[in-house]
Amino acid sequence: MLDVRGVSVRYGDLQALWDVTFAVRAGELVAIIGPNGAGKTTILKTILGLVRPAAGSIDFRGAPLTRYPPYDRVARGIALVPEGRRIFPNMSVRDTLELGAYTAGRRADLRPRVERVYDLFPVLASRQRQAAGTLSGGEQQMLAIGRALMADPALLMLDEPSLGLAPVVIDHLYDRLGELKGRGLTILLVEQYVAGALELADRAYVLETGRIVREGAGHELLADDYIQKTYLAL
Amino acid sequence: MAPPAVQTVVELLLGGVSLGGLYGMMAFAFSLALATTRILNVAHGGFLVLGAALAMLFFRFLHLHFLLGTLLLLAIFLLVGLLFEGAFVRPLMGRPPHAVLVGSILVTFGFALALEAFLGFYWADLVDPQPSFTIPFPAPTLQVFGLTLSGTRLTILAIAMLTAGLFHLLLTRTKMGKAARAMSEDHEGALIIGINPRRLSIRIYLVGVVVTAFSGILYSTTAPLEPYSGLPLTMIALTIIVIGGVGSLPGALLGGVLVGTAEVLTTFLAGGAWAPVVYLLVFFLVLVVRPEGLFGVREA
Repeated sequence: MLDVRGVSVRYGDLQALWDVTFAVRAGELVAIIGPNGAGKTTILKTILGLVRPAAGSIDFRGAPLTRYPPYDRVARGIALVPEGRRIFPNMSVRDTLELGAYTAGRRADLRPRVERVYDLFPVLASRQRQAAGTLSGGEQQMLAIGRALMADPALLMLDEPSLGLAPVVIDHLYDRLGELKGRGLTILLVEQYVAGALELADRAYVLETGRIVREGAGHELLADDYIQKTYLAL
Repeated sequence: MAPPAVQTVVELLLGGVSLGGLYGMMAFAFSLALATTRILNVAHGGFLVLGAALAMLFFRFLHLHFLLGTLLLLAIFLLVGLLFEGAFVRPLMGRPPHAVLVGSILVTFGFALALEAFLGFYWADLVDPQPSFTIPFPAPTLQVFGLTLSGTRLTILAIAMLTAGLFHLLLTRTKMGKAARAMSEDHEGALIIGINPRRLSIRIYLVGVVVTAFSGILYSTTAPLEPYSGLPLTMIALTIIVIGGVGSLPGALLGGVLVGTAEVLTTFLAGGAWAPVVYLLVFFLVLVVRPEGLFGVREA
C-alpha cells in the first residue's frame, strides 16, 4: 500500500533521514521505533507532504505521491494523528470530528462516521459539546485519533500516541488500536513505547539517527538481544 | 423634549457605538486574515479609503443608479480581493512564520503607500483637485422619548450588527468558517486534516475586502476619508484586535466599541488630536493587564 524508497530529508545543514526504505502492506500494522530525534516524526510528515524529501520516492496505492500537497494526500486516504495531538482547543469535540472529514465531499453523510468514532471512544460522545481544550490528555488523544478516522483513511499514521499518558490510559488506547487493526485498517505506528508497539505490530523497523538499522516481525524484534538491551532495558 | 445635556450624551454614545461597530467590522476582517494566513496587512485601512473613493466616483460624479453602482462596487471589491491575495499573500504562503510576518508588513506597506499616492495624485488630477471622499447619506432622524437620534448612525449600527451576525454564522455554521477557526487555532493541525490553505485564504480575502471596503463607504457617510486616512485606520484595526484578541469576533466588536467611543468622547471633550492618545492608552492598559487580549487565547 505504501512504498517509501530511498528517502532523504534535510533541514538546512542537518540531515534528518538517510536513504530510508520501507513498506506497509494492506491490512498490516507496521511500527517504527527508535529514540528521540531519530527522525520518526519526519518520516510521517514526509509521507503526508508537510516536509519535502531531498531524495527518494513515496508511492501510495501504486501512484507516486511526491508532487501532491498534504490536502490531496489526505483526500487519497492518508490520515495522521500528529505528535502532540494538534487539536483545536476552542472547538467542540463534535466540530473537531466533523472537520476531520474536511476532504470528504459536501454531500457525504458524516453521521455514520461520527457514530463509529463514538462506538470506539464512548467518552467522546459524552463530551461532544465540550471544547477540545478542556479534555484530559487521554481524551484529547482519542479525539485526535477520532478526527483522523473521520477522513475514512486507507492508511492511519500515528505519531507517539502514548506520549505523556498514564499507563492505564495507554493500555486502553492500545486496545482500541488493536480493534482497528482487527477490522483490517492499515496502520503505521511511530513509537518510543517499544514494548507496546512491538507487541501489536506485524512488522517493525528500528530507526536510529535517521537510518533504518533493523527490521523484522514484531515478535522477532521483541525477542532480539539488541532491542532488549537498548530499548526494553531487560 | 429631553434636557440638552441628556441629548448630547445620547448623541455622543450613539456616535461612539456606531463608529465602534463600524471599526469592529473592519477590524474583524483584518483579524481573521491575520489569524488564518498570518499576513499582517498594513494596507487594510487603504481598502476603506478605496471603497469610499470608488463609491463617491460612482454615485456623486457619475450618478450611477444605486443598485447598479452597488453591484459594480461589489464586483470591483471582489476583484481587488482576488488580485491582492494573488499578489501579496500567495507568494508568502508556506514560508516560516517570521518570514511571513515581516514579508507581509513590507509588501503591504508598499502597496498602502502606492494606493495613497495613486488616490492623492491621480484623483486630484482627474476627478477632484481636493481629494476628500464623502457620500452624505441624510437618513431621517428618529424621535424616541423626546430624544433625537441620527438615522444615519442608527443605520450604520444596524448594518454593523447584521454583519457581526453574518460573521458569527460563517464561523460557526459553515465549513469555510470552521476551517478558518481551525487554521487560526493550530496551523499545522489544519494542514494535517487536509485543509487547502490557498483556497481558504482566497475566500478570506474576498470576504475581507468586501466587508472592509463597504465599511469605508459607511464611514464616509458621516465623515470624509482622505487618501492618507488608510494607515491611521490600519493602526486602529491593530489596536482593536490587540485589545480584543486576534481572531476573536466578540473581541473585535468590544474593542471596536471601546476605541470608537473613546474617540468620539475625546474629540468632544478635548479635541480630535487627543483621540489616538486615549485609545492607545486603553491599548496599553490591556497589554499590561491581559496581553492575549480580552477574548484572546493564551498560546500554549
